[in-house]
Amino acid sequence: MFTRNRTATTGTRILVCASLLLIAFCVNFADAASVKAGYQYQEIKALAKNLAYDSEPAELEKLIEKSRAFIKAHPKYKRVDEVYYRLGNALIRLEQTEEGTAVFEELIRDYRSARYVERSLLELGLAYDKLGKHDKADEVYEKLMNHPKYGSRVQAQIAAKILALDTSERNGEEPNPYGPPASAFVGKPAKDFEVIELKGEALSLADYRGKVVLLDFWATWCGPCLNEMPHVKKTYATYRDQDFQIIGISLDRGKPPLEAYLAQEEIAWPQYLDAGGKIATLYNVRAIPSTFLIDGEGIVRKTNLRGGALEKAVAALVKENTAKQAEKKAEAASQ
Amino acid sequence: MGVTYTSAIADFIQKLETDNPLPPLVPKQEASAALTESLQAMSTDALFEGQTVKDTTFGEAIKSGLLLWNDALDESHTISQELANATGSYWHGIMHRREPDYSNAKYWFGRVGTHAIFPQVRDRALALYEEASHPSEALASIGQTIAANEEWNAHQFIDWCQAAESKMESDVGRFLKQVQAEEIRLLLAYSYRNAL
Repeated sequence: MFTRNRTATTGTRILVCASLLLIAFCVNFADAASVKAGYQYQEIKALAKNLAYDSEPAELEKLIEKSRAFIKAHPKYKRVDEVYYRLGNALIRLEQTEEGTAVFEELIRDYRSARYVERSLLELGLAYDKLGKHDKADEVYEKLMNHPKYGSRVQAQIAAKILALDTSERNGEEPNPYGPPASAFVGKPAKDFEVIELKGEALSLADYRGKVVLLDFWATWCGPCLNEMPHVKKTYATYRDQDFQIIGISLDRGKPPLEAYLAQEEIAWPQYLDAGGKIATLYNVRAIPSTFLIDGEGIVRKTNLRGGALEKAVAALVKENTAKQAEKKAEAASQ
Repeated sequence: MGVTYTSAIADFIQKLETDNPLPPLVPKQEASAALTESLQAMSTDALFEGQTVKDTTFGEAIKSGLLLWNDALDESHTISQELANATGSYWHGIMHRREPDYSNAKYWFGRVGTHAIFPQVRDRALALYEEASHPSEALASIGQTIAANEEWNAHQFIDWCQAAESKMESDVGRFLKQVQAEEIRLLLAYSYRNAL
């Protein structure tokens, strides 16, 4: 009995040990897989984080490649919805809009209430708008607004704002939360202002009727503005004698840096120090450089001109203006 | 800041100033469960003591902000995720930064764009840096970066918070907490001014 028992015990022991080993192996294996998935997920997250404000196409490609591999390898990972979102977003940023919509469609179909569904629905709607598929976009926006979990979120509220727009205004960009973009001013009379410019002279936009005016919002602390300055100066030098005027609206905080820069660069056109943002608010300028090109009738014709495009636009408008003014003179003379 | 809060809001702020003057970058739990409870029990109307709230998004933002100051991240999040303006996204972004979920924080700061309080946050950060008597090399580098850029970079601030999380020994952690505390106070004042 004793012997049998002992044998039995030994057998059981062996069995137990073997089972334990097997379990341990399985647990280890599962652990390794989930550790690997977790590691890869963190890697994707880190890539995406840096892309948020500084994206290189090569980095986006890398994110796409890693995300696709991740989704294939770990479709059940708890945060796979986020990887889908990053992938769709990266594709759209690389102008691969069709591929991006396919990814978002898959996410929305397979992970209905996952964490990233709200922002994916919004991006999907915007992508469809970008492709001109407004009917499909409508469906997506409505889905977002009626979503049981996400229907009152920020993204759903933005969707409602987009749906209120005319389809011609729906180009895949979110409506600007800060008001109309500069382009909305095109074709409308430039808003007038009367201020005292930097040298103490009265400055009024209305005084420049008959001339082409470039309203140039800038500041000495704004690197991109200073990079633009050679183009602005060249354009001024070329057309100043042909009824062309630049008005600088500087968003500097004080006079000293502005005056020093103007002297150093020998900039002669009038400047207004808009430290309080008075004119910037009038024109809804949220970022600089920002330009408004105004014709002789006081109508805004172009906005956000930079580099070569600035000189080209000024050349065309100056030509048009010269012809128009000559016509007016001739008309006046004949009367 | 020049803001005179209603006495209901001022009471909450006073409690928070006393009990949680320097909220942690990444809180482990709410500072005061009682405060969370009494804040949640209060309607926006009660917080504003009958004053007409012109913009409810900003009105709600006050509550979200006070909860966030009390380190009640989830409760703050429940409100901020429905605030569809730049200030709502700002509260939302700080919440994710403190979770910490840095990439999510950047999504929301992307929605913030350039916020009206950024110049003040930058000014306060610079002043705080100048107060540091013997800054470490790491802090000096942060201070110089802030000074060298005319605009406040909220994304970079997130990166600094993330880097400080793994090495809290330096003066950097304290500095970032101080800046965050200023940021919360400034955003609260801004939300209040725009609510009325």
